[in-house]
Amino acid sequence: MPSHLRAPALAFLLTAAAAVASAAPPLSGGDTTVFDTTRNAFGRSLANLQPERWPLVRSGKALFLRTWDEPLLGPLFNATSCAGCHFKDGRGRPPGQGSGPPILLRLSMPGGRPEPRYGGQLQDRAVAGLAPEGKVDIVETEERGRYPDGTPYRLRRPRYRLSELRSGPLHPQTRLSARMPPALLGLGLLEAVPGRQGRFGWKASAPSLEHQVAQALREDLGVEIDGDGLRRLTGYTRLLAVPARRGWDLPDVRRGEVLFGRIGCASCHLPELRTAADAAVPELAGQTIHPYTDLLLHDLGADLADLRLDGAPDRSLEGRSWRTAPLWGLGLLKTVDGEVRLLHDGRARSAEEAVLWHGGEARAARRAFKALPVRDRQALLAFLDSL
Amino acid sequence: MSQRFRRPFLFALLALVAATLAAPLPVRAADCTDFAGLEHCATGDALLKTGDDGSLTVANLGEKGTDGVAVSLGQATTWVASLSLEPAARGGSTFFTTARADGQDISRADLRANDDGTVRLSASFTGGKGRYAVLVYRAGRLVASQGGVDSERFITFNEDEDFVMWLISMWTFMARMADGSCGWMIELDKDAAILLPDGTPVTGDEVHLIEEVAKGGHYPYLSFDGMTLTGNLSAIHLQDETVYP
Repeated sequence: MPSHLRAPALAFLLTAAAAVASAAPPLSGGDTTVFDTTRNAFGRSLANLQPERWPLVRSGKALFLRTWDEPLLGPLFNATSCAGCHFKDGRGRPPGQGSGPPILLRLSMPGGRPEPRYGGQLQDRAVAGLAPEGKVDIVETEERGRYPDGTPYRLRRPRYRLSELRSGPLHPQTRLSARMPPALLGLGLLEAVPGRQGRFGWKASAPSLEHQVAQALREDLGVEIDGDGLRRLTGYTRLLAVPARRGWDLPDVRRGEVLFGRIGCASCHLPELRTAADAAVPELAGQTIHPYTDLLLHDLGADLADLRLDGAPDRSLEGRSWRTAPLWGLGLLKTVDGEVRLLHDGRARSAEEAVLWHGGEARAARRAFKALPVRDRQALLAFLDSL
Repeated sequence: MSQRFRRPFLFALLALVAATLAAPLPVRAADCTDFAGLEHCATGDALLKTGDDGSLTVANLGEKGTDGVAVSLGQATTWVASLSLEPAARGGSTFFTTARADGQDISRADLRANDDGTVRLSASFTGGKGRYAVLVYRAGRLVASQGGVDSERFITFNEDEDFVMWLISMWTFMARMADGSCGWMIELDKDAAILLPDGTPVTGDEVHLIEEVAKGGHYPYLSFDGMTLTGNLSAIHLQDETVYP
């Protein structure tokens, strides 16, 4: 084929492939999918929820919103309520409650042991009369790059400055791992996917939602609740739905979907999973879902790795590995949170920046993305925005 | 200005300033005042004025219906206002109440005069699919109800506009009802002739517009934090307000 015909022909083939790939509107959460493009988009109950489970949603949400106080709170903590870091079930703080991302710092030693003085997490707040464990300031440096076609881009690299450490300096071998809260949509569906060991948390360390919720209560809030409270809170997070995609049938979006697969993103961000037929909640069972994750850990390279105290990356496999983040709801994050902060530490201000930070196993996909013509890059980003 | 006129002019100016300061000043838009223990802020061109009887009057409401008052409630499950509505001077009155949570409108009740001089009442809800049930009470007893009403439909007070506006005495919004629904409750001083959304005539002195909770796909509102009252009325007189956390 003459070279001047090759590009138009390829574009035609991609469009045709896209048309075949998405003939029907994809319901991101199967029968559980809700249709909401407002700030409430992540906070609706499953569309197919049976009425008898509605009281669990309501009573669980009451706990989710509850602001804990002494003596149940703390004494050391990072937040006083679940909603304080998952406002509107997303990844942000409520308006007027601090600026910057709601980051917490996980601490670990080589081999995964907790830091000997401070434990597994630095708690930067404390009840009255008690000093917090320390203070964390984020220092960002700008990095500039260019696409092969010459288009410039800018990225922000965060570093963490610790001060006012209550019990003296951290052990010199401590690794710092900054964590943004994840959005809560579709967690019950992910739990119902069979065949995964750990699946929750940025490092896929929690095997179940209940485990994850209990850990967040204990470590982020310093709260221990009884079994019924844990059941209600877990029930609430389990029964949150996923909003439907928007603009899924626009030509650019469909083309972007094909490109997403073609350049290798879909090898980890799996477009389709199926929940177990015998899931504990019948509404979640047997659903074909589109979370764009494989729920597995992958090496994402040194740029995204946990940090040593001197700011250098932790080059161990554990330090470089992150669970593939689900992409459903990506295009609604700005609506729900009021801002976009992607990746485990919120450094990426857009999906494009997030892609450009990928390394390790995803380096080839990042290179392929960068090599795309600008129109194709925009199509791929339009696809991500439709999720 | 000549020397001859300068002194009288300055005296007049000083007198005007003194008189202005001495008179009770209405609160300008974007200004706020405390009433019933709650912060009330004027919106648009509205003016707030506290009366000798302790009531709060919201006046200077423009024709567009967007001027009024925003009330900050903290975390509330119920808001009850004892009020009276002074009809628009040239007819065609409107009165809108909007409940807000986390910076977002979650429900609204609209009162509008029809072209024939009667008054329609409708509601919209955001938690579920937006449908609601209408319940009409008379002397505390349920006399009629109709479900599955969408936000495009309404009940009609089959009475003269001015009469209906003066009749309204209590306006309530509740989130967190028994099944998690939200609802508006409007109480009248006397019986009124009412047409249900399907045209059924009924007589009553209290109307409830209660959200129908579909449960599946529903957003569980447990509280709200603000209430906005707007309209094109001659004035809204708030006699009292109560908030239940």
